[in-house]
Amino acid sequence: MGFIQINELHKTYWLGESQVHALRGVSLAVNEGERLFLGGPSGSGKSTLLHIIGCLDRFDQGRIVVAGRDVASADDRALADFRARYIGFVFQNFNLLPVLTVFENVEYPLLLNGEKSAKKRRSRVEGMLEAVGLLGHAKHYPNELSGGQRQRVAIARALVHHPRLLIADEPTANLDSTTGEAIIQLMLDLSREQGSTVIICTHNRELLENAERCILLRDGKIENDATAGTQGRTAACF
Amino acid sequence: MFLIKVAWRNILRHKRRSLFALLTILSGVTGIILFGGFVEANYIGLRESVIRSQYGHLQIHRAGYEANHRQDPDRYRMPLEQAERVKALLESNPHVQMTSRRLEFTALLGNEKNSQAAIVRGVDPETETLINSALTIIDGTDLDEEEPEGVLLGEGLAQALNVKVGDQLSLLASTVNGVMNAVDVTVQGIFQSFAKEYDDAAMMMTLPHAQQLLNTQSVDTVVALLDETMALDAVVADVADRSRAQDLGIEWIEWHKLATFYQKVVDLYDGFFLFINLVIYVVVVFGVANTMIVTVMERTAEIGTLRAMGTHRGGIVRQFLTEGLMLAVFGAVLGVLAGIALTYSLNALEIMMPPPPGSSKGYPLRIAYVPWIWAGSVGAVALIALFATLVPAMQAARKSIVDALRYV
Repeated sequence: MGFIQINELHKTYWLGESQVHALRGVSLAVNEGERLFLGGPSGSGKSTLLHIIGCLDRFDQGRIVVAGRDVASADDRALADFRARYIGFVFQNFNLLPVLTVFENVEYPLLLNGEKSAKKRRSRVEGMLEAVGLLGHAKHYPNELSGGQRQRVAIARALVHHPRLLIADEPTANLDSTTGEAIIQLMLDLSREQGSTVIICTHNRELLENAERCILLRDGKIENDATAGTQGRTAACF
Repeated sequence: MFLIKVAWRNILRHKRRSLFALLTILSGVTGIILFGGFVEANYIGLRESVIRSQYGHLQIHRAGYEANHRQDPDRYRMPLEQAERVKALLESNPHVQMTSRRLEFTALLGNEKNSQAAIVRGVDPETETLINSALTIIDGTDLDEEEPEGVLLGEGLAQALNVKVGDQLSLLASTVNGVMNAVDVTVQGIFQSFAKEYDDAAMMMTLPHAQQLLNTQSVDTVVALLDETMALDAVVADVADRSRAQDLGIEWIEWHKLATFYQKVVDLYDGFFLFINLVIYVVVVFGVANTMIVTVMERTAEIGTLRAMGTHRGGIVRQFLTEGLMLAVFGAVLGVLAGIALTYSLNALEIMMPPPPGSSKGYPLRIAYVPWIWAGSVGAVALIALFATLVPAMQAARKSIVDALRYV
């Protein structure tokens, strides 16, 4: 069984008065330490799948096991604890907490995980900020940073507690291509050092083309699941 | 600590909105403090006027007096020797400042042109002057033992008889033997108390002269004035113990049981105060709730982020409750400070107020410093803020994480 095991996942939701069948029997296995890129046109269900894997959303039918845990049976509180401990998130809009400094933003997941020693927290946070090249900005507030810097803070925040799974939802959508590439590379490098599994949802064709593994979703189904070296992978993805 | 730090920064983050909420709370609390202080000052002023112009703090009678003196006044009066023992008992209590004997009856007061029924009080002039310190002599002089025929008339009574200081009058009353008796009196002074009703009928004379008119050596009452009104319960307990031990055969009545007018005023003002408190607290509820609803709406994406990272729903609720509470307590404390400053300023202005209902005298505006109202208003506003914040905070916590993250 993979680190993430998904079987026949279905998810519908209501958009106004119309019902949207976002996932139609998705099955998927992701191994620990794997880097997976999710692609597909808008409305293909990739964000829904990402949210369910990240334990942010529930599903209607099927089964999903993340890090050995059947998340369908967990209540809201248990899922929150699970996310705090095992998952790191990077969002399209950075989603830093505006009233916290860079240091405090990165420190927050450690507080959530009950790390009581201020010394240990400081050491971990400074280590992460150094890794993303922002140690000198520790006392700055998010609105004092550029988009790329904010996303680097978000990466530091997502990885500071050494999560087993890093989920990134369109992390480069609000960045220029050069900064975006650097951000993806930083994310991949840092998560490799920690041995984290990475799932990145993106529209970026170039990222998908160069991915170790890419999955293309269309109309709530997996249209293509290709790994590096697979013949015609890029063509299949697009 | 982290919670408080984040709450404080969020309050400062939206300065204008927070300022509006703070001003709402501040004005409300200041209003409560000013009105509460005004009411309390009136209570104190009226209470002390009542005590120091009519009733004293404590009135001691012979046992059975209250129930029977209307039917058989002289039988339930205190003989001279008993009155002296009562005075000695009272004066041995350190809280008793002074005592005075009184003989009270109704009589017909008049001259050849006019006559009026009067409520007469025979008193010990020296001590009664001090006990009745809230009584204002508006013309003439106070009673004097050297002038036994001199009397004080209430302003309304003097007007009804159309007399002035120095005029001669006759006072006609029934003696204890049931014989009509009359004495000549001279108007020595005209007084004004807090109660116009009392001034329309009241007359005071020296005790020996009153006893001579009624042909008695007894008195109705021994009145005690204390050093502070708050000591009354302790003094009553002491009098009860020692009078029982000495078998004095007395009963007593505290000032507030006699002062029905005072109690009515207190009830009326308490009603006003409660109503004004309710109005102010409703405004505070809406002020805080409005601020917190807008805050929650604006921070939807932030709530989504916190929840995604693993913050429990309770953590979100606690965050917003802390913010609402801090805003309320900060606003309330500022309101208390503003209230104290305004109390000081308004008292310094010496503004004159019109006479209250049933009174013949205006009085200077006084606002009391009442710490329990300060603490109470801060506590009440804090509770109200928690209540007003709870609904938006719970709504925030219940938001779907995915929807919250998508909120722009």
